Amino acid sequence: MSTTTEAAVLRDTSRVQAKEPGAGRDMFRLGRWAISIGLIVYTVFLLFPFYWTINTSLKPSPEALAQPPTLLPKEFTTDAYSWLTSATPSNALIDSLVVTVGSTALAVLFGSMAGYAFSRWPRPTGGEEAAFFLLSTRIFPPVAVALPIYFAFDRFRLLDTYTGLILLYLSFGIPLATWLMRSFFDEVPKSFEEAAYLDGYGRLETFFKVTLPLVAPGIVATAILTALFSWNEFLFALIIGGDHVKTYPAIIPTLATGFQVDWAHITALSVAAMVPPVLAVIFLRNHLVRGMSLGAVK
Amino acid sequence: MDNSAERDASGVAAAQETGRVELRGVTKTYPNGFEAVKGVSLELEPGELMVFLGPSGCGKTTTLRMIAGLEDVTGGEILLDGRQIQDTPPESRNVSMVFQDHALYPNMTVRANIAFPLKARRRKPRPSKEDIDARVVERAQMLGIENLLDRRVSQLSGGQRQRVALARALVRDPIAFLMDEAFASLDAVLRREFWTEFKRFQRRIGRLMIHVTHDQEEAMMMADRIAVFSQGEIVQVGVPDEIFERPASRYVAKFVGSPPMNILALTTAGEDGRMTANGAGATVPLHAVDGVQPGQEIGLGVRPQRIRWGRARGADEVELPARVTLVESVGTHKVLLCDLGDADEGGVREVRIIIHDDTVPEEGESGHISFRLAHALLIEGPEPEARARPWPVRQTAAA
Repeated sequence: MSTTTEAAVLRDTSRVQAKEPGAGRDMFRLGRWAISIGLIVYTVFLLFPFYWTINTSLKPSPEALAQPPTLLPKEFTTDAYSWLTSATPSNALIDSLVVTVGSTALAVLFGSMAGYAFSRWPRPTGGEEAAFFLLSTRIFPPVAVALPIYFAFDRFRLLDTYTGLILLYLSFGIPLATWLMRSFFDEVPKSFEEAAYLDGYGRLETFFKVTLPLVAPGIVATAILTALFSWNEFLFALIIGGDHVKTYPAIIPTLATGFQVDWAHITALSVAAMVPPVLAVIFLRNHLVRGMSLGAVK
Repeated sequence: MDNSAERDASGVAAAQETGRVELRGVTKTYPNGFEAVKGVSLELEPGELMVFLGPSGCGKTTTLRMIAGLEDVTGGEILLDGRQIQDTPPESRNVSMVFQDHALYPNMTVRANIAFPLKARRRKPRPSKEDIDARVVERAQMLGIENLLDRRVSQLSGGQRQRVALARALVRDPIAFLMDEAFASLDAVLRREFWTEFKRFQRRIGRLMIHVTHDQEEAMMMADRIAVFSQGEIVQVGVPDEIFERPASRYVAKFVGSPPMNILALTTAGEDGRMTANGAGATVPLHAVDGVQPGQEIGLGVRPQRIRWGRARGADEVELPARVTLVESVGTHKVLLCDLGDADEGGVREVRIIIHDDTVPEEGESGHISFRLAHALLIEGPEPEARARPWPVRQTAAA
């Protein structure tokens, strides 16, 4: 008799055990489905503008304005992309590339050195206040200084030059790079550098051979953020740029005239402009994720 | 032979540098006025293992960092083989250091980490790539980590990191090795292993080594000599036994030893010739010495190892009535916690005794504790800096 009760108890518990995790697993599955669906919807929402840009760029101009809009080009054409090889858009993309690479490289170089100083010698560099003052240049609206900058650049003959645009973008890029790099350097323990001093490296050697490699992910993240700004900047590209130096954002408004908006060309140029940042993010995504999470050292 | 071969391998001229380091009145005052080190003077012999011992904030690490050149010296001199080095930058001092966090570069392999000091060295001639490789492998074998050479630092356990850090410090042939709480991150068992192992390396390499710790047991186990720090000053320097048996002050007596020294609060009475110290339910004979007047509060220090449970066996022993309140077993021995005399009288009433016998009194049992006065210390006052010295025994009474 006792054995039968035991068996019954065993059976009961086994049933309970079987049921409980099963129910839990169902809930878990349901939750995962809900999250997946939510993420799919969000992804569609994010990707739609890209799809629509590419879609429009492949339509002939009349179809781009057709009502109702067509989800896929009825009359497929790559005319707009052929136009990209003509002088105006191709020069604009080259100008954008020159200005972006130039301003990013310099911003990261100077920003690293300044950020290092802020991180390691907070007292002589003015500490938190000075660092914040540097960042404050990014708080006020750039339009507020557009006019003075125009006249100043005119006086120094910097209008319509690579130097002018690069200098201007540095004034935005260096504070950002300094601020970001400072936080990356803060994560490198001082002992890492002290060990290098004792082993025979001087200050500069230690900085370039020990510290900088340690913050490599941070440099990548900083470079991408700085480059994105320079690449997409519109207002000053329009004001400072001219006939010789005109980056692609300054070209786009010229395609929308009082008579017509040339959607096919605008979108084709946009697609071309998307390529470098997308490639950069794809190739550097590992560094970028580590850099963004500020886990430069761990 | 072994030594000179090692020196030749890394291209160090053996003749000029023996590694005699001398500190002369070294001070460190921070810009905010805080005096971290208040005039430390110490002579360090080549080949000795010196331990700086003290609680956190006592200036031991700052002193070490000043020897390394990582902190500016604000006063006094540091001499290396008679040459002043306090203004020499760290990269030119040829000392190596193991940091508390080990300072291993996470973006490099173990091999690259160990090779780093050889690649960074200033001294000419720089070793060739083959020499570096050979030396790295040799040091890795010495520390039993040759199978880890191609791993990343992040893949290592705490003990393995410790070994890599030591290999890195030992790979070149500096005049001195400095270690800043280097074993602090290890668990107790591993730490003990390293104490022994490191001491063996140090003997083999025969170079001056300065180790900083707050762990008195670690200091006792490792040191050839110990410098005890307190509030920016060295309060005593000596071999471990000396520090243990003859602490120079109440502070050292309390800091070194586990369980700590028992210090009974007594009051002196009588006149010059025939003085006694009273309290804790007993009267202890005291030979008159300088610095002790009748009616003065003094301390009687005696190590738990030196006290017996039982009555005095001779005239040179002192016995005190006591009651056992707690018996702790540590395996190798037992620790008795006893209450002394009248609980109302105030002062230190609790005494710890270490007993190795099998016959141990029960908790709550009353009886006597006794110890030889030759094993006791006279501590000349209640303050930490109060001088400690052997208990002055009255010759006539002992005879």
